Amino acid sequence: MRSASWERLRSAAAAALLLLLLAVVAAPLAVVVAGSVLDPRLLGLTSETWEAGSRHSTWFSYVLSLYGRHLARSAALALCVVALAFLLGAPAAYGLSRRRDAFARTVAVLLDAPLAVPGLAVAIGLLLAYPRARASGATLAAGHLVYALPFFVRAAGNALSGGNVPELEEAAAVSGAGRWQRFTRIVLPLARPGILAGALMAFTISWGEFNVSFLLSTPTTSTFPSALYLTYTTNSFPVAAAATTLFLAAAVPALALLQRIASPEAARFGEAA
Amino acid sequence: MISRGGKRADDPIGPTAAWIAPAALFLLLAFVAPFAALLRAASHGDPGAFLRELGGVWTHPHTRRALGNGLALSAGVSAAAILLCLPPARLLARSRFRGRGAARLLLSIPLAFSGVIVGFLAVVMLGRVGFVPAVAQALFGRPLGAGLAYALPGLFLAYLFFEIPRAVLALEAAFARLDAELDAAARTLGAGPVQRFARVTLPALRPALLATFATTFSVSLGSYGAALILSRRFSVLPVEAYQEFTAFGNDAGASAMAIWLAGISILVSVAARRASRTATEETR
Repeated sequence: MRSASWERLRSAAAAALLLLLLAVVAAPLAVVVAGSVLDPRLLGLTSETWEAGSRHSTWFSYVLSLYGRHLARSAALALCVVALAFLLGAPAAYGLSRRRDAFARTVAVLLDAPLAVPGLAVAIGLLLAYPRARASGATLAAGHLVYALPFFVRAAGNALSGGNVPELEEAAAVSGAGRWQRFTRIVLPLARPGILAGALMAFTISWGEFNVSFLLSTPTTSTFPSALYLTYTTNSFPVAAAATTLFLAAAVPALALLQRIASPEAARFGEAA
Repeated sequence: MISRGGKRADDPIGPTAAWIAPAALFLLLAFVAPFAALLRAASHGDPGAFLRELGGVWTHPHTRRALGNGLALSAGVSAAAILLCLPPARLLARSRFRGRGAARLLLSIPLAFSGVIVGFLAVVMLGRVGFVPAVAQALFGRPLGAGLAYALPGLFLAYLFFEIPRAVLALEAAFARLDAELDAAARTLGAGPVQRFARVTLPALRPALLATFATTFSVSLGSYGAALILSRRFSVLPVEAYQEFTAFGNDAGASAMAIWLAGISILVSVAARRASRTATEETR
Protein backbone atom coordinates (compact mmCIF):
# COMPACT_ATOMS: atom_id res chain seq x y z
CA MET A 1 0.00 0.00 0.00
CA ARG A 2 2.74 2.42 0.96
CA SER A 3 4.70 1.35 -2.07
CA ALA A 4 1.78 2.14 -4.40
CA SER A 5 1.30 5.65 -3.05
CA TRP A 6 5.04 6.22 -3.26
CA GLU A 7 4.91 5.08 -6.87
CA ARG A 8 2.09 7.53 -7.58
CA LEU A 9 3.98 10.36 -5.92
CA ARG A 10 7.08 9.54 -7.93
CA SER A 11 5.14 9.52 -11.20
CA ALA A 12 3.53 12.85 -10.36
CA ALA A 13 6.92 14.38 -9.57
CA ALA A 14 8.39 13.01 -12.79
CA ALA A 15 5.42 14.35 -14.78
CA ALA A 16 5.82 17.78 -13.16
CA LEU A 17 9.52 17.80 -14.01
CA LEU A 18 8.75 16.73 -17.59
CA LEU A 19 6.26 19.59 -17.93
CA LEU A 20 8.87 21.98 -16.56
CA LEU A 21 11.45 20.83 -19.13
CA LEU A 22 8.86 21.11 -21.91
CA ALA A 23 8.00 24.64 -20.80
CA VAL A 24 11.66 25.63 -20.62
CA VAL A 25 12.23 24.44 -24.19
CA ALA A 26 8.92 25.60 -25.65
CA ALA A 27 8.70 29.09 -24.12
CA PRO A 28 11.71 30.71 -25.84
CA LEU A 29 10.84 29.04 -29.14
CA ALA A 30 7.26 30.29 -28.93
CA VAL A 31 8.40 33.82 -28.10
CA VAL A 32 10.85 33.85 -31.02
CA VAL A 33 8.40 32.44 -33.56
CA ALA A 34 5.69 34.85 -32.36
CA GLY A 35 8.19 37.69 -32.46
CA SER A 36 8.92 37.03 -36.11
CA VAL A 37 5.31 37.71 -37.13
CA LEU A 38 3.80 39.85 -34.38
CA ASP A 39 4.60 43.33 -33.23
CA PRO A 40 7.31 42.68 -30.61
CA ARG A 41 5.68 45.29 -28.36
CA LEU A 42 2.91 42.76 -27.77
CA LEU A 43 5.57 40.54 -26.22
CA GLY A 44 6.89 43.41 -24.12
CA LEU A 45 10.14 43.17 -26.03
CA THR A 46 10.47 46.29 -28.08
CA SER A 47 13.20 48.77 -27.52
CA GLU A 48 13.66 49.89 -31.09
CA THR A 49 11.94 49.58 -34.42
CA TRP A 50 14.24 49.68 -37.31
CA GLU A 51 12.80 51.46 -40.31
CA ALA A 52 15.10 49.75 -42.82
CA GLY A 53 12.97 46.65 -42.65
CA SER A 54 9.68 48.40 -43.24
CA ARG A 55 10.16 48.39 -46.99
CA HIS A 56 9.56 44.67 -46.83
CA SER A 57 6.10 43.22 -46.29
CA THR A 58 7.35 40.72 -43.71
CA TRP A 59 10.47 40.31 -41.65
CA PHE A 60 11.10 37.06 -43.49
CA SER A 61 11.53 38.73 -46.85
CA TYR A 62 13.87 41.24 -45.21
CA VAL A 63 15.94 38.42 -43.73
CA LEU A 64 16.00 36.66 -47.11
CA SER A 65 17.18 39.85 -48.81
CA LEU A 66 20.00 40.12 -46.25
CA TYR A 67 20.95 36.49 -45.69
CA GLY A 68 19.27 34.52 -48.49
CA ARG A 69 22.66 33.59 -49.84
CA HIS A 70 23.73 32.15 -46.49
CA LEU A 71 20.53 30.15 -46.34
CA ALA A 72 21.04 28.71 -49.84
CA ARG A 73 24.68 27.90 -49.08
CA SER A 74 23.71 26.14 -45.85
CA ALA A 75 21.11 24.05 -47.66
CA ALA A 76 23.55 23.13 -50.43
CA LEU A 77 26.31 22.31 -47.96
CA ALA A 78 24.00 20.17 -45.81
CA LEU A 79 22.85 18.19 -48.87
CA CYS A 80 26.46 17.81 -49.94
CA VAL A 81 27.37 16.49 -46.48
CA VAL A 82 24.47 14.03 -46.66
CA ALA A 83 25.63 12.76 -50.06
CA LEU A 84 29.23 12.38 -48.91
CA ALA A 85 28.16 10.68 -45.68
CA PHE A 86 26.25 8.18 -47.80
CA LEU A 87 29.07 7.58 -50.28
CA LEU A 88 31.69 7.05 -47.58
CA GLY A 89 29.49 5.81 -44.76
CA ALA A 90 27.26 3.17 -46.38
CA PRO A 91 30.15 0.96 -47.59
CA ALA A 92 31.96 1.54 -44.28
CA ALA A 93 28.91 0.47 -42.26
CA TYR A 94 28.62 -2.64 -44.45
CA GLY A 95 32.28 -3.55 -43.98
CA LEU A 96 32.20 -2.86 -40.24
CA SER A 97 29.02 -4.90 -39.78
CA ARG A 98 30.76 -7.97 -41.20
CA ARG A 99 34.17 -8.33 -39.76
CA ARG A 100 36.23 -6.88 -36.97
CA ASP A 101 39.87 -7.27 -37.87
CA ALA A 102 42.46 -4.89 -36.46
CA PHE A 103 42.01 -2.43 -39.31
CA ALA A 104 38.22 -2.38 -38.92
CA ARG A 105 38.53 -1.87 -35.16
CA THR A 106 40.94 1.01 -35.65
CA VAL A 107 38.62 2.67 -38.14
CA ALA A 108 35.64 2.21 -35.79
CA VAL A 109 37.54 3.96 -32.98
CA LEU A 110 38.74 6.68 -35.33
CA LEU A 111 35.19 7.22 -36.57
CA ASP A 112 33.89 8.01 -33.07
CA ALA A 113 36.97 9.93 -31.94
CA PRO A 114 35.87 13.34 -33.33
CA LEU A 115 32.81 13.26 -31.06
CA ALA A 116 35.16 13.77 -28.12
CA VAL A 117 37.08 16.59 -29.81
CA PRO A 118 35.74 20.17 -29.79
CA GLY A 119 34.79 21.55 -33.19
CA LEU A 120 37.10 24.52 -32.77
CA ALA A 121 40.11 22.19 -32.35
CA VAL A 122 39.22 20.36 -35.58
CA ALA A 123 38.67 23.70 -37.33
CA ILE A 124 42.06 25.12 -36.27
CA GLY A 125 43.70 21.82 -37.27
CA LEU A 126 42.05 21.83 -40.69
CA LEU A 127 43.10 25.44 -41.29
CA LEU A 128 46.70 24.69 -40.30
CA ALA A 129 46.85 21.48 -42.35
CA TYR A 130 45.21 22.89 -45.50
CA PRO A 131 45.58 26.67 -45.42
CA ARG A 132 44.68 27.09 -49.09
CA ALA A 133 41.52 24.94 -49.11
CA ARG A 134 39.56 27.43 -47.02
CA ALA A 135 38.41 29.65 -49.89
CA SER A 136 36.83 26.74 -51.77
CA GLY A 137 34.82 25.62 -48.77
CA ALA A 138 36.41 22.14 -48.94
CA THR A 139 37.67 22.25 -45.36
CA LEU A 140 34.27 23.55 -44.24
CA ALA A 141 32.54 20.52 -45.79
CA ALA A 142 35.21 18.20 -44.36
CA GLY A 143 34.72 19.67 -40.89
CA HIS A 144 30.96 19.05 -41.09
CA LEU A 145 31.44 15.54 -42.44
CA VAL A 146 33.86 14.58 -39.65
CA TYR A 147 31.00 15.09 -37.18
CA ALA A 148 28.19 13.70 -39.37
CA LEU A 149 29.90 10.50 -40.52
CA PRO A 150 29.93 8.62 -37.17
CA PHE A 151 26.16 9.06 -36.82
CA PHE A 152 25.51 7.94 -40.37
CA VAL A 153 27.70 4.85 -40.06
CA ARG A 154 26.17 3.87 -36.73
CA ALA A 155 22.58 4.26 -38.00
CA ALA A 156 23.26 2.34 -41.22
CA GLY A 157 25.21 -0.32 -39.31
CA ASN A 158 22.39 -0.85 -36.81
CA ALA A 159 19.96 -1.46 -39.65
CA LEU A 160 22.33 -4.12 -41.05
CA SER A 161 23.17 -5.88 -37.82
CA GLY A 162 19.61 -6.94 -36.97
CA GLY A 163 18.42 -9.01 -39.93
CA ASN A 164 19.75 -12.02 -41.76
CA VAL A 165 21.84 -10.10 -44.28
CA PRO A 166 24.69 -12.66 -44.48
CA GLU A 167 22.29 -15.52 -45.27
CA LEU A 168 20.43 -13.51 -47.93
CA GLU A 169 23.72 -12.53 -49.48
CA GLU A 170 24.97 -16.04 -49.53
CA ALA A 171 21.81 -17.14 -51.28
CA ALA A 172 22.31 -14.38 -53.83
CA ALA A 173 25.96 -15.37 -54.24
CA VAL A 174 24.96 -18.96 -54.97
CA SER A 175 22.59 -17.60 -57.61
CA GLY A 176 25.56 -15.85 -59.19
CA ALA A 177 25.22 -12.27 -57.94
CA GLY A 178 28.54 -10.40 -57.70
CA ARG A 179 29.69 -8.38 -54.71
CA TRP A 180 28.62 -5.04 -56.09
CA GLN A 181 25.28 -6.38 -57.22
CA ARG A 182 24.63 -7.84 -53.75
CA PHE A 183 25.59 -4.55 -52.14
CA THR A 184 23.20 -2.50 -54.29
CA ARG A 185 20.36 -5.05 -54.50
CA ILE A 186 20.36 -6.56 -51.01
CA VAL A 187 22.43 -4.57 -48.54
CA LEU A 188 21.34 -1.05 -49.44
CA PRO A 189 17.59 -1.83 -49.53
CA LEU A 190 17.82 -3.62 -46.18
CA ALA A 191 19.74 -0.75 -44.65
CA ARG A 192 17.33 1.84 -45.99
CA PRO A 193 15.69 2.89 -42.69
CA GLY A 194 19.14 3.28 -41.13
CA ILE A 195 20.44 5.17 -44.14
CA LEU A 196 17.46 7.51 -44.03
CA ALA A 197 17.96 8.10 -40.30
CA GLY A 198 21.68 8.68 -40.85
CA ALA A 199 20.96 11.09 -43.68
CA LEU A 200 18.56 13.11 -41.51
CA MET A 201 21.13 13.26 -38.71
CA ALA A 202 23.86 14.35 -41.14
CA PHE A 203 21.54 17.05 -42.48
CA THR A 204 20.64 18.32 -39.02
CA ILE A 205 24.25 18.39 -37.85
CA SER A 206 25.42 20.31 -40.89
CA TRP A 207 22.42 22.69 -40.87
CA GLY A 208 23.11 23.84 -37.31
CA GLU A 209 26.89 23.52 -37.21
CA PHE A 210 28.64 26.59 -35.80
CA ASN A 211 31.71 25.48 -33.80
CA VAL A 212 33.63 24.38 -36.90
CA SER A 213 32.05 26.76 -39.40
CA PHE A 214 32.63 30.04 -37.60
CA LEU A 215 36.38 29.72 -38.03
CA LEU A 216 36.49 27.86 -41.36
CA SER A 217 34.07 29.95 -43.36
CA THR A 218 35.00 33.00 -45.41
CA PRO A 219 32.60 35.77 -46.44
CA THR A 220 31.91 33.81 -49.63
CA THR A 221 31.36 30.44 -47.93
CA SER A 222 29.76 31.42 -44.63
CA THR A 223 26.63 29.52 -43.69
CA PHE A 224 23.29 30.36 -42.11
CA PRO A 225 24.34 29.75 -38.46
CA SER A 226 27.05 32.37 -39.00
CA ALA A 227 24.38 34.66 -40.45
CA LEU A 228 22.34 34.06 -37.30
CA TYR A 229 25.33 35.24 -35.27
CA LEU A 230 25.36 38.38 -37.41
CA THR A 231 21.64 39.03 -36.90
CA TYR A 232 21.98 38.52 -33.14
CA THR A 233 24.82 40.99 -32.87
CA THR A 234 23.77 43.60 -35.43
CA ASN A 235 20.02 43.43 -36.20
CA SER A 236 16.95 44.25 -34.14
CA PHE A 237 14.83 41.61 -32.43
CA PRO A 238 12.19 40.98 -35.15
CA VAL A 239 14.90 40.39 -37.76
CA ALA A 240 16.80 38.01 -35.49
CA ALA A 241 13.53 36.25 -34.60
CA ALA A 242 12.54 35.84 -38.25
CA ALA A 243 15.99 34.46 -39.10
CA THR A 244 15.78 31.98 -36.21
CA THR A 245 12.31 30.92 -37.36
CA LEU A 246 13.69 30.23 -40.84
CA PHE A 247 16.38 28.09 -39.22
CA LEU A 248 13.74 26.15 -37.28
CA ALA A 249 11.63 25.68 -40.41
CA ALA A 250 14.17 23.17 -41.73
CA ALA A 251 15.53 21.77 -38.47
CA VAL A 252 12.23 20.83 -36.83
CA PRO A 253 10.79 18.81 -39.75
CA ALA A 254 14.09 16.95 -40.06
CA LEU A 255 14.00 16.03 -36.36
CA ALA A 256 10.31 15.09 -36.56
CA LEU A 257 10.92 12.81 -39.53
CA LEU A 258 13.90 11.27 -37.76
CA GLN A 259 11.79 10.45 -34.76
CA ARG A 260 9.02 9.03 -36.88
CA ILE A 261 11.18 6.62 -38.83
CA ALA A 262 13.69 5.68 -36.15
CA SER A 263 13.14 6.69 -32.58
CA PRO A 264 16.04 4.57 -31.22
CA GLU A 265 18.36 6.34 -33.64
CA ALA A 266 16.96 9.67 -32.49
CA ALA A 267 17.91 8.66 -28.96
CA ARG A 268 21.48 7.96 -29.99
CA PHE A 269 21.54 11.41 -31.53
CA GLY A 270 21.89 12.63 -27.97
CA GLU A 271 25.56 11.93 -28.37
CA ALA A 272 25.99 14.61 -31.05
CA ALA A 273 28.89 16.93 -30.45
CA MET B 1 34.77 -24.64 -58.47
CA ILE B 2 34.26 -26.25 -55.10
CA SER B 3 37.13 -24.41 -53.52
CA ARG B 4 35.83 -21.14 -54.90
CA GLY B 5 32.37 -21.75 -53.50
CA GLY B 6 33.89 -22.62 -50.14
CA LYS B 7 35.91 -19.45 -50.14
CA ARG B 8 32.83 -17.41 -50.88
CA ALA B 9 30.83 -18.81 -48.02
CA ASP B 10 33.72 -17.96 -45.76
CA ASP B 11 34.44 -14.59 -47.34
CA PRO B 12 31.19 -13.37 -48.86
CA ILE B 13 31.95 -9.67 -49.11
CA GLY B 14 35.60 -9.80 -50.11
CA PRO B 15 38.20 -7.88 -48.18
CA THR B 16 36.52 -5.78 -45.49
CA ALA B 17 39.24 -3.20 -45.92
CA ALA B 18 38.05 -2.31 -49.40
CA TRP B 19 34.64 -1.24 -48.09
CA ILE B 20 36.06 0.73 -45.16
CA ALA B 21 39.00 2.27 -47.00
CA PRO B 22 37.26 5.40 -48.38
CA ALA B 23 35.97 6.41 -44.94
CA ALA B 24 39.35 5.56 -43.39
CA LEU B 25 41.17 7.72 -45.92
CA PHE B 26 38.78 10.59 -45.28
CA LEU B 27 39.31 10.37 -41.50
CA LEU B 28 43.06 10.27 -42.03
CA LEU B 29 42.95 13.46 -44.10
CA ALA B 30 40.21 15.36 -42.25
CA PHE B 31 40.83 14.33 -38.65
CA VAL B 32 44.23 12.71 -38.07
CA ALA B 33 46.19 15.12 -40.27
CA PRO B 34 44.58 18.23 -38.72
CA PHE B 35 45.24 16.87 -35.24
CA ALA B 36 48.87 16.31 -36.21
CA ALA B 37 48.94 19.87 -37.56
CA LEU B 38 47.77 21.14 -34.15
CA LEU B 39 50.57 19.24 -32.40
CA ARG B 40 53.11 20.49 -34.94
CA ALA B 41 51.97 24.11 -34.62
CA ALA B 42 52.19 23.98 -30.82
CA SER B 43 55.63 22.39 -30.81
CA HIS B 44 57.48 23.89 -33.81
CA GLY B 45 59.04 20.40 -33.95
CA ASP B 46 60.60 20.81 -30.49
CA PRO B 47 59.20 18.80 -27.55
CA GLY B 48 60.47 21.37 -25.05
CA ALA B 49 58.63 24.18 -26.84
CA PHE B 50 55.51 21.98 -26.93
CA LEU B 51 55.52 21.58 -23.16
CA ARG B 52 56.22 25.29 -22.66
CA GLU B 53 53.33 26.20 -24.96
CA LEU B 54 50.96 23.81 -23.16
CA GLY B 55 52.19 24.97 -19.76
CA GLY B 56 51.67 28.57 -20.83
CA VAL B 57 47.92 27.99 -21.07
CA TRP B 58 47.93 26.90 -17.43
CA THR B 59 50.38 29.46 -16.02
CA HIS B 60 48.86 32.45 -17.78
CA PRO B 61 46.14 33.66 -15.36
CA HIS B 62 43.81 34.78 -18.15
CA THR B 63 43.68 31.47 -20.03
CA ARG B 64 43.75 29.46 -16.80
CA ARG B 65 40.67 31.32 -15.61
CA ALA B 66 38.95 30.71 -18.95
CA LEU B 67 39.78 27.00 -18.75
CA GLY B 68 38.64 26.81 -15.13
CA ASN B 69 35.39 28.61 -16.00
CA GLY B 70 34.69 26.12 -18.77
CA LEU B 71 35.50 23.09 -16.62
CA ALA B 72 33.34 24.25 -13.71
CA LEU B 73 30.48 25.28 -16.00
CA SER B 74 30.57 22.03 -17.99
CA ALA B 75 30.76 19.79 -14.92
CA GLY B 76 27.98 21.68 -13.12
CA VAL B 77 25.72 21.80 -16.15
CA SER B 78 26.24 18.10 -16.95
CA ALA B 79 25.47 17.04 -13.39
CA ALA B 80 22.40 19.30 -13.25
CA ALA B 81 21.16 18.08 -16.65
CA ILE B 82 21.41 14.43 -15.59
CA LEU B 83 19.64 14.99 -12.26
CA LEU B 84 16.92 17.07 -13.89
CA CYS B 85 16.36 14.70 -16.80
CA LEU B 86 16.47 11.37 -14.98
CA PRO B 87 12.81 11.26 -13.79
CA PRO B 88 11.32 12.60 -17.07
CA ALA B 89 13.48 10.16 -19.06
CA ARG B 90 12.13 7.27 -16.99
CA LEU B 91 8.60 8.50 -17.58
CA LEU B 92 9.15 8.74 -21.34
CA ALA B 93 10.63 5.25 -21.45
CA ARG B 94 8.09 3.50 -19.21
CA SER B 95 4.75 5.19 -19.73
CA ARG B 96 2.60 5.41 -22.81
CA PHE B 97 0.63 8.63 -22.72
CA ARG B 98 -0.91 10.94 -25.29
CA GLY B 99 1.49 13.53 -26.59
CA ARG B 100 4.53 11.43 -25.72
CA GLY B 101 5.89 11.68 -29.25
CA ALA B 102 5.32 15.41 -29.34
CA ALA B 103 7.05 15.80 -25.97
CA ARG B 104 10.09 13.87 -27.20
CA LEU B 105 10.21 15.91 -30.39
CA LEU B 106 10.00 19.19 -28.50
CA LEU B 107 12.76 18.12 -26.12
CA SER B 108 14.96 17.05 -29.02
CA ILE B 109 14.75 20.37 -30.88
CA PRO B 110 17.74 22.04 -29.15
CA LEU B 111 19.90 19.22 -30.60
CA ALA B 112 19.91 21.08 -33.88
CA PHE B 113 20.93 24.36 -32.29
CA SER B 114 24.33 25.90 -32.12
CA GLY B 115 25.35 27.67 -28.94
CA VAL B 116 24.72 31.00 -30.64
CA ILE B 117 21.00 30.32 -30.97
CA VAL B 118 20.85 29.23 -27.34
CA GLY B 119 22.57 32.47 -26.39
CA PHE B 120 19.99 34.47 -28.35
CA LEU B 121 17.12 32.59 -26.70
CA ALA B 122 18.63 33.41 -23.30
CA VAL B 123 18.75 37.10 -24.24
CA VAL B 124 15.16 36.99 -25.51
CA MET B 125 13.94 35.45 -22.26
CA LEU B 126 16.25 36.93 -19.63
CA GLY B 127 17.87 39.93 -21.31
CA ARG B 128 17.48 43.50 -20.09
CA VAL B 129 14.20 43.81 -22.00
CA GLY B 130 13.51 40.08 -22.03
CA PHE B 131 10.20 38.26 -22.03
CA VAL B 132 10.41 36.98 -18.44
CA PRO B 133 11.10 40.43 -16.93
CA ALA B 134 8.31 41.89 -19.09
CA VAL B 135 5.83 39.30 -17.80
CA ALA B 136 7.06 39.75 -14.23
CA GLN B 137 6.65 43.51 -14.57
CA ALA B 138 3.06 43.05 -15.65
CA LEU B 139 2.31 40.52 -12.91
CA PHE B 140 4.33 41.69 -9.94
CA GLY B 141 5.31 45.21 -10.90
CA ARG B 142 8.99 44.32 -10.90
CA PRO B 143 11.17 43.20 -13.86
CA LEU B 144 12.40 40.00 -12.24
CA GLY B 145 15.31 38.36 -14.01
CA ALA B 146 16.17 41.36 -16.19
CA GLY B 147 19.74 41.09 -17.45
CA LEU B 148 20.17 37.67 -15.87
CA ALA B 149 21.20 36.31 -19.27
CA TYR B 150 24.46 38.25 -19.09
CA ALA B 151 25.41 36.99 -15.64
CA LEU B 152 26.69 33.57 -14.63
CA PRO B 153 23.22 32.10 -13.83
CA GLY B 154 22.06 33.00 -17.33
CA LEU B 155 25.05 31.31 -18.92
CA PHE B 156 24.41 28.26 -16.75
CA LEU B 157 20.76 28.12 -17.84
CA ALA B 158 21.72 28.56 -21.49
CA TYR B 159 24.18 25.66 -21.34
CA LEU B 160 21.59 23.59 -19.47
CA PHE B 161 19.03 24.27 -22.22
CA PHE B 162 21.62 23.00 -24.67
CA GLU B 163 22.22 19.75 -22.76
CA ILE B 164 18.61 18.86 -21.90
CA PRO B 165 17.92 16.95 -25.14
CA ARG B 166 21.20 15.05 -24.98
CA ALA B 167 20.57 13.99 -21.39
CA VAL B 168 16.87 13.17 -21.84
CA LEU B 169 17.27 11.11 -25.02
CA ALA B 170 20.34 9.19 -23.83
CA LEU B 171 18.79 8.42 -20.43
CA GLU B 172 15.47 7.46 -21.99
CA ALA B 173 17.27 4.93 -24.18
CA ALA B 174 19.05 3.62 -21.08
CA PHE B 175 15.77 3.21 -19.19
CA ALA B 176 14.27 1.44 -22.20
CA ARG B 177 17.15 -1.06 -22.21
CA LEU B 178 16.75 -1.62 -18.48
CA ASP B 179 15.32 -4.97 -17.48
CA ALA B 180 11.99 -4.22 -15.77
CA GLU B 181 11.87 -7.78 -14.42
CA LEU B 182 14.83 -7.09 -12.15
CA ASP B 183 12.94 -4.28 -10.45
CA ALA B 184 9.84 -6.48 -10.14
CA ALA B 185 11.93 -9.32 -8.68
CA ALA B 186 13.49 -6.98 -6.11
CA ARG B 187 10.00 -5.79 -5.19
CA THR B 188 8.78 -9.36 -4.71
CA LEU B 189 11.76 -9.99 -2.46
CA GLY B 190 10.58 -7.10 -0.31
CA ALA B 191 12.95 -4.31 -1.33
CA GLY B 192 11.56 -0.81 -0.77
CA PRO B 193 11.55 1.85 -3.50
CA VAL B 194 14.69 3.62 -2.25
CA GLN B 195 16.52 0.34 -1.85
CA ARG B 196 15.44 -0.78 -5.33
CA PHE B 197 16.64 2.46 -6.86
CA ALA B 198 19.99 2.34 -5.07
CA ARG B 199 20.69 -1.38 -5.48
CA VAL B 200 19.02 -2.29 -8.78
CA THR B 201 18.30 0.71 -11.00
CA LEU B 202 21.35 2.85 -10.28
CA PRO B 203 23.99 0.14 -10.85
CA ALA B 204 22.29 -0.87 -14.09
CA LEU B 205 22.16 2.74 -15.25
CA ARG B 206 25.74 3.54 -14.26
CA PRO B 207 27.30 3.01 -17.71
CA ALA B 208 24.64 5.24 -19.30
CA LEU B 209 25.04 7.91 -16.59
CA LEU B 210 28.80 7.98 -17.13
CA ALA B 211 28.46 8.07 -20.91
CA THR B 212 25.87 10.85 -20.73
CA PHE B 213 28.04 12.87 -18.38
CA ALA B 214 31.03 12.47 -20.70
CA THR B 215 29.00 13.57 -23.73
CA THR B 216 27.34 16.59 -22.15
CA PHE B 217 30.62 17.58 -20.51
CA SER B 218 32.63 17.58 -23.72
CA VAL B 219 29.84 19.25 -25.71
CA SER B 220 29.68 22.05 -23.12
CA LEU B 221 33.45 22.38 -22.89
CA GLY B 222 33.86 22.72 -26.65
CA SER B 223 30.83 24.89 -27.38
CA TYR B 224 31.40 28.62 -27.41
CA GLY B 225 28.48 30.20 -29.27
CA ALA B 226 26.47 30.89 -26.12
CA ALA B 227 29.48 32.41 -24.36
CA LEU B 228 30.19 34.50 -27.47
CA ILE B 229 26.71 36.04 -27.31
CA LEU B 230 26.22 36.25 -23.56
CA SER B 231 29.40 36.88 -21.66
CA ARG B 232 31.51 39.97 -21.76
CA ARG B 233 33.54 39.36 -18.61
CA PHE B 234 33.21 35.62 -18.29
CA SER B 235 35.43 33.99 -20.91
CA VAL B 236 35.82 30.34 -21.86
CA LEU B 237 38.85 28.76 -23.49
CA PRO B 238 37.40 28.17 -27.00
CA VAL B 239 36.65 31.91 -27.25
CA GLU B 240 40.23 32.67 -26.17
CA ALA B 241 41.58 30.18 -28.73
CA TYR B 242 39.42 31.71 -31.45
CA GLN B 243 40.67 35.21 -30.67
CA GLU B 244 44.27 34.10 -30.33
CA PHE B 245 44.05 32.45 -33.74
CA THR B 246 42.13 35.09 -35.69
CA ALA B 247 43.01 38.39 -34.03
CA PHE B 248 46.60 37.76 -33.00
CA GLY B 249 47.67 35.10 -35.51
CA ASN B 250 49.18 33.11 -32.66
CA ASP B 251 48.96 29.63 -34.20
CA ALA B 252 51.07 28.01 -31.48
CA GLY B 253 49.07 29.48 -28.60
CA ALA B 254 45.69 28.73 -30.17
CA SER B 255 46.80 25.17 -30.98
CA ALA B 256 47.95 24.65 -27.39
CA MET B 257 44.51 25.74 -26.13
CA ALA B 258 42.78 23.46 -28.66
CA ILE B 259 44.99 20.56 -27.49
CA TRP B 260 44.02 21.25 -23.88
CA LEU B 261 40.33 21.18 -24.77
CA ALA B 262 40.60 18.07 -26.94
CA GLY B 263 42.83 16.33 -24.39
CA ILE B 264 40.43 16.93 -21.49
CA SER B 265 37.40 15.82 -23.52
CA ILE B 266 39.16 12.66 -24.71
CA LEU B 267 40.35 11.87 -21.18
CA VAL B 268 36.85 12.27 -19.77
CA SER B 269 35.26 10.07 -22.42
CA VAL B 270 37.95 7.38 -22.10
CA ALA B 271 37.62 7.43 -18.29
CA ALA B 272 33.83 7.15 -18.57
CA ARG B 273 34.15 4.20 -20.92
CA ARG B 274 36.66 2.51 -18.60
CA ALA B 275 34.47 3.05 -15.55
CA SER B 276 31.33 1.84 -17.29
CA ARG B 277 33.15 -1.27 -18.51
CA THR B 278 34.13 -2.19 -14.96
CA ALA B 279 30.56 -1.38 -13.90
CA THR B 280 29.10 -3.86 -16.39
CA GLU B 281 31.60 -6.51 -15.32
CA GLU B 282 30.63 -6.01 -11.69
CA THR B 283 26.92 -6.42 -12.36
CA ARG B 284 27.65 -9.57 -14.31
